[in-house]
This record gives sequence, C-alpha cells and structure tokens, in this order.
Amino acid sequence: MMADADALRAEQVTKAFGDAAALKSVDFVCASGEVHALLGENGAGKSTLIKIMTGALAPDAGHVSVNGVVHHFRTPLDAQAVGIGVVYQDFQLFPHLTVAENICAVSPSDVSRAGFLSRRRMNEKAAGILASFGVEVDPRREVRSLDAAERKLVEISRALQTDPQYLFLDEPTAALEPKETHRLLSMIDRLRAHGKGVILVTHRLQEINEIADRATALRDGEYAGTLDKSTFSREALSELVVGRAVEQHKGPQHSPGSVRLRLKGLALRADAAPVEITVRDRELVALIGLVGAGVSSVMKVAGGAEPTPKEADYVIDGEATGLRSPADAQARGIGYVSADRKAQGMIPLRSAAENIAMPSLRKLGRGPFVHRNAFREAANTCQQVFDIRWASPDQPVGSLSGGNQQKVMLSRWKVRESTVLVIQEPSQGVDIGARLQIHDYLVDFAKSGGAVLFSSSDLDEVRDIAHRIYVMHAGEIVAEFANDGGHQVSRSLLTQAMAAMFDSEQKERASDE
Amino acid sequence: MSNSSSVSSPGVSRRSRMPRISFDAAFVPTIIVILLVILSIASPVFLSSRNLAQVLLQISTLGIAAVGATYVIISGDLDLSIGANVALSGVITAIATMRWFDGNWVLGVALGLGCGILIGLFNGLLSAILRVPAFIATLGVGVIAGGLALWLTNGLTVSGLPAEFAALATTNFLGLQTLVWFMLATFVVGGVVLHFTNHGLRTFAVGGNREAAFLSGVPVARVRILNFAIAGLCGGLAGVLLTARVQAGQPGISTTLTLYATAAVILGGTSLLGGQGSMLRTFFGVLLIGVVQNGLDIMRVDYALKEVAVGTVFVLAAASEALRRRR
Repeated sequence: MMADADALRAEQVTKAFGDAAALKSVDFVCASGEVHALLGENGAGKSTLIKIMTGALAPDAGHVSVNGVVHHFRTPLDAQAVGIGVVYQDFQLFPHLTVAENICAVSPSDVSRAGFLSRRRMNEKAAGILASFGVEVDPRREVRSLDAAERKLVEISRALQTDPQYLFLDEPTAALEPKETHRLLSMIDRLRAHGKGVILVTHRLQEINEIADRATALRDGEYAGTLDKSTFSREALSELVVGRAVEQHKGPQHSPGSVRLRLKGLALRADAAPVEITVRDRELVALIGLVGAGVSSVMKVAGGAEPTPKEADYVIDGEATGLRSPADAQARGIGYVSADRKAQGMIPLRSAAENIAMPSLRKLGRGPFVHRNAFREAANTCQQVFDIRWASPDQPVGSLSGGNQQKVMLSRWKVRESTVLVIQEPSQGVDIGARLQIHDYLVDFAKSGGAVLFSSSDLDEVRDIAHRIYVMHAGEIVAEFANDGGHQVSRSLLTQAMAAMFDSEQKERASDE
Repeated sequence: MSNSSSVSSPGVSRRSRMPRISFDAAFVPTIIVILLVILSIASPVFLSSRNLAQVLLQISTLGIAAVGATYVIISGDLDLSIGANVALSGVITAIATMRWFDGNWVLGVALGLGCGILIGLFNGLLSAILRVPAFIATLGVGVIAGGLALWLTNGLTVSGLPAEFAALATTNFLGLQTLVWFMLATFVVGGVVLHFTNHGLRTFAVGGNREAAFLSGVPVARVRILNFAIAGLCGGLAGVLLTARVQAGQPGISTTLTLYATAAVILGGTSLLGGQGSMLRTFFGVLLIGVVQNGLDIMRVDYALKEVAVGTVFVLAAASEALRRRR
C-alpha cells in the first residue's frame, strides 16, 4: 500500500487475545488536518486498535506508520515521541491540583529552575496552551471546581503540550450534555485548523454529522468501511456500524391510556415553581434539561431512589402515598435505572444472573435459601428478550460491554414484573445496535400497558421514542411538548427550551404544531 | 457515563477473570501443603495425629471469631471489637455462673452469648443507622467492652467454674475435643448461610456496591446490622468456649485476636474492600496461621522470634497475593 505523507496509518493490523481475535487485518488512515470518526459497537475492536496505534499494545501482525515511516512502538512513550497523543474516556486529572499543575505534571522540568517549581512559569505555560486552542479556563483554578466539559478541555490541553500531530479522543463527549458537547466540538474544530489529525471515538451520530470529515467503522474486529462527509446520514452511519439497514423509531405510534403517575408540588428550589409531571399507561414521557436544571432530582423522587419529600404529592394508581425507599417503589410496580451504572447500578463482581435476580429474591423462590436455577432461568429468558451477549449468565456483570450491562439493568425490572420504568439515560454508554434494541423494548413495554418516564441528554433519542417531552430549567418545568406520531419537535427548539431562550410566543407556536 | 472501555474489550476480561478465581482459591492451600511438607521433614512429630489435633485446637477460638469477621468484611465493614467481645463474653459467662446463678452454667452461657450478640447489635446500630464509620465505631465499642471486662473482674481471673462447664469444650469426641467440633460446625453453618441463602447473597451485594444494592431493593442497613450481630454471636461463642476450656474467665485474654481474625480473613483471599470472598478461604487463612504457629512451637522457637516469624508470614502472603493480582 502506498504510504502518502502526512497521515497516520494502521496497515493490516491483526491482534488476538488467546483464541479470541480482536482485530483481523484492519486498515485505518487518518490524514493530518482531518477529523476522522472511529465507530463500532462495543467489542468491535476500537479500543484494541487505539491501544495498538498509541503504543499500549503490540500487534500480532501488521504495523503502524506515521507520515510514511513504519514504527514498532514498545511503549506509549515511543508513540508520543513521533507525534501521537491520546485522551482516554475516563477522567485522568488530579482533582485537588490546579489546572496549570495538572497540565505541567507531565514534564515539570520545563517549568522549574534548579529543581524548584516556578508557579509563575507554570501558569504562563498552561495559559499559553489553553489560549492557543481557545479554552477559556483560568489555569489557577482547582480541577475539582471545573464542570465536566472544562475538565475534558483541560485533559485535551494536557495531551497537546507534547504537540502531537495525531490525537486520539476516546468518547470525549460520553459524560457531557449537549451544550457542553458543543464547546468540545468547537475545540476539535480548532485542532483541525491547526493541521492536526483527530481520531474521534463516539457512539453519537449527531456529533459525527457536525464535525467529522470521514467515518470508519469496525465490526467484529474487521474493517467495515469508510464514509465520506458527503454521504453522512443517521441511516447510513447506523448501517455502517451495525452491518444491516436499521429502522430508527420515528416517535411512538400508539396512544396512551389513563394517568398512572402524578407527581405534584415537588419544590426543588425556593425561587422555582413546584414541579408537576404526569405519566400515563402506555405512555413514554421524556424529561430533559441541562445539568443543574433538576432533572435527576425529579427522576430520583419519581423512581423512589429518594423518599418522596413531605411537601410533595405523589399519586400512584390513584393512591397518594408517596414512596419511602427503592424497595417500596418496587412493591408499587416501579423499576428505577440510574444514569450511573458503575456507581449505582451494577454489583460488578457478581454474576449477571444474580444482578438480574437481586430485587426479586422473594419472587424467585421461597424460604431463606437462594434458588440459583430460578435465577438462571430468569436470566436466560431475559437474554432472549434483550439479545444480551454473554458467555453465560454466571459471567460477572462488570465484564460485559456497556450495552449488555444496560440490558441487564432493564432485565431486573422485567423479572420483577414492574409496570412502570423510571430510567435515566437509557442508552448512555451503549452502542448503536443495543440502543435500538433498548428503544424497541421500551416502546413495546409501553404498548403492552407499561408507563415509561425517562431522562436523556440525547435529543434524537427523546424525539425518537417519547410521546411527550417535559423541559426543565433552573429547578422548574419550563415547557412541555407533544411528540406522538413522529418527530414533531425540532432539535433546535428543544435546545432553546433547555437554555430557557424561549419566549411564550414560541411556546404557543410549538403547541399549535 | 464513564463506562470504561476496559470492560468492553472482547476476550480479554473474560479470559483473565474466569480461570483466575480457581488459581486464587488454590493459593493459600498450596502454601499450607508446602509448609506441611517442610515441617514434616524438619520434625517427625509434626504429622502425628496428636499434633494435628493440637493445631486444630489452637486455632479453634480464632476460627470461630474469623467466621463472624468474614461476614462483616464481605459486607464492606470491619469489626475491631472481636477480641474485647471474646474477653467480655467469657468474663460475663464466668461471673454469671459463679456469682449470679449459683453455679448454673447453662444460664451463664446464655448470658455470655447474649452479651456477644448485644455487642454486635451495638456495632451495627452505630455503623448502619448512625453512619459512624465501622472502623471507629467498632474500635470504640471494643475499648468499652474490654474496659467493662476489666472492671467487672477488677482485672482478676474468675476461676472455680464447674467441671461440667469445662466439659462443654474439652470432651473428647472422635479423637478431637468438642471445642474443635464447635469450630468446624461454625464454619459449616457459616459457609452455608453465606453461600446458599438470600442473606448471604445480599451480603455480597451490599459489600460489592452498597448504593446499587440499596437501589435494587436490598435492605442494606438490616443486612449490615445482621452481619455485625453474627460476628457478635461468633465472638460470644468463642468467649464462652475459651472460658470453658481454661475453666476461668480472663479479662485480659485475646487482645491480639481481633487483628489475627481479620488477618486470617484477608490472608484467605477475601477482599478488605468487601463484596468478594468465601468461608472456605477464611478456613484456609486460619489454618495457615495455625500451621505456622504450631511449626514454630515444635521447633522451639523463642516466643519473641515467633512473633517476628508470624508477622513475616503475614507480610509475605499478602505481598505475593498482591503481586499475583497485578500480573
């Protein structure tokens, strides 16, 4: 293959772990001055490819070349030396140090004299790096005081101080909401303008549309194809990733029944009007808002993760009893799925079957003893329903991919026979195929009589499956949109509503539509 | 959100995780076997059935206490009151039998066990309801219990207990003293409850991810309190049986027991972070300590040097475990 100048290439790269082939003769090219999206479902081989191209893993066959020169990296430092940088998905900053200290921690000798650090030089150096890429963050601030987007920007800035020509960004937007994502994308745009090649890993097709020049997908460890900007569309990108034509939902096509939940008088702030929401049988309702708007507080109360406050009035099935605990919520038919699977969802070392059975121990068998056969049976049923990929239901849930973990979380409430689902971020950290399956499940669940309340920072998801959309800002509900029967609400209208850049005239227009 | 990509890489996690468990579980037994071989070469006495029975006898109190400690550690807590619990329960048994119930040792035993459970419940209430960190709560309760034991006895041994009471621990049955049988039974019952009941499963869930367990409907506080109570009961049982064995209530006994019991659990391979472990592992951890101490006794190692050697075994076992994990 001809190696043209100014490109980072992986050529015929193959890697296996034991018997499991992770990559099979994969080619990948990122030119400098290009934003190249790297797509693929969990387990498709993206992580392995990134590790090989950044020197964290050695390939079994094939090689990596930079600007036409073949390299065999032994450590990440080798890759860094020839201009390859990487920012991993999880935050890797020191929260109690300042921005400047974090940036300069990589090579402190640059900013020290006779072994002593110069705080002034450190701040100057950091300010220089930040300014050249338009990051408006004071280098003297402590990292823990920054929001998620600012942290990501600082992390990228830190990776930039070695002046890499090619930069890998592994799901940089996974923890960001739409407005923050926008800031990040504009930084990526500036990196491109500086002539850098950016390899962007993301599950969010909208971002690819906005920023990428090309998109390459891996499927089951093989190269699946590359699309050019001119041919981008949600359908084309999904098909490239999943390997077959996929049908996105275009709003739910069935009509809701009678009121199931009514949460009233929930005051989140002294200066905000109390929140009131209703969810009907057979209805999918979305609750959206920026971080700090109060969405997650409402979801926690609705799902029983936090006890119903005294002043609030929570009517479930016509009974105004409120909820005392998660166990109480479950007894009333409500299943809650947190946005933070790692901290609040899974018990990672225990098996998938046990994780599924945990809320239903009483249901799955009498007496004090554990009924493992019943667990496995329940898990296998869920595996069929959700198409969960595991070696066996006894596999620790922490070793499953994001999509499969989320399916396990939903399986819990299937086994518990919950009739209401309260879900934060149904497809967070979930790949495109699993996301569609989860949407199918939720829509079917509602069709067969269930009620769904979900929050999401993914506006496509909201427009795809919600009957109604509540928008929150500063602790109160500022808008409500009907969305049944199709994409009735535009993305931009939702974005404006979330930022409260929204006047009553528009509101009326929206409800007329 | 930060669903790290490390869990999603195919094959890697699955392969390295599954077989490792069995290797882990075999680690301590392997060390024990190696020690047995070395010691039996060094001294012909070692493998005699009399000496092996002696090993089991020596670890009986420790073993019973460690069963309780296993529950508390797996549910993500720590119990630093075990030693003092053993002392106070033993002293209460002795005093109640001698002074309050006029030689009726059955009532004395009941009171001793009740004392153990009460200490456990107290630990549980402080940790799970008032949310005092278990470390400081159980340390404080332990200091109180130890002080009470000294105060009740003026620091003196309570002796003259009835022979039938002593027989509770020292009767020979199938070549082993009843104290040993009590320990083995405690391990079996403890293992069954931990690994085959809903409470056991919830214990692992609470230790594995407390927040997630709560959100999936597990009564977290109740599970934690129950485990402290189980540890308390085990401490009480150990105290009662120890008192029976020496036929006296000793307030200053078993000061190091707390740390040995915790060390036995950790040496066996149960994680101090909670959510992981097994009763069989604890048994092997206890057995390892017993074999080392007995071996040093047989080779007539000086008491102070014996301490050095036991400490060295702790450090080596823990270090090799940590090294293997990193591999």
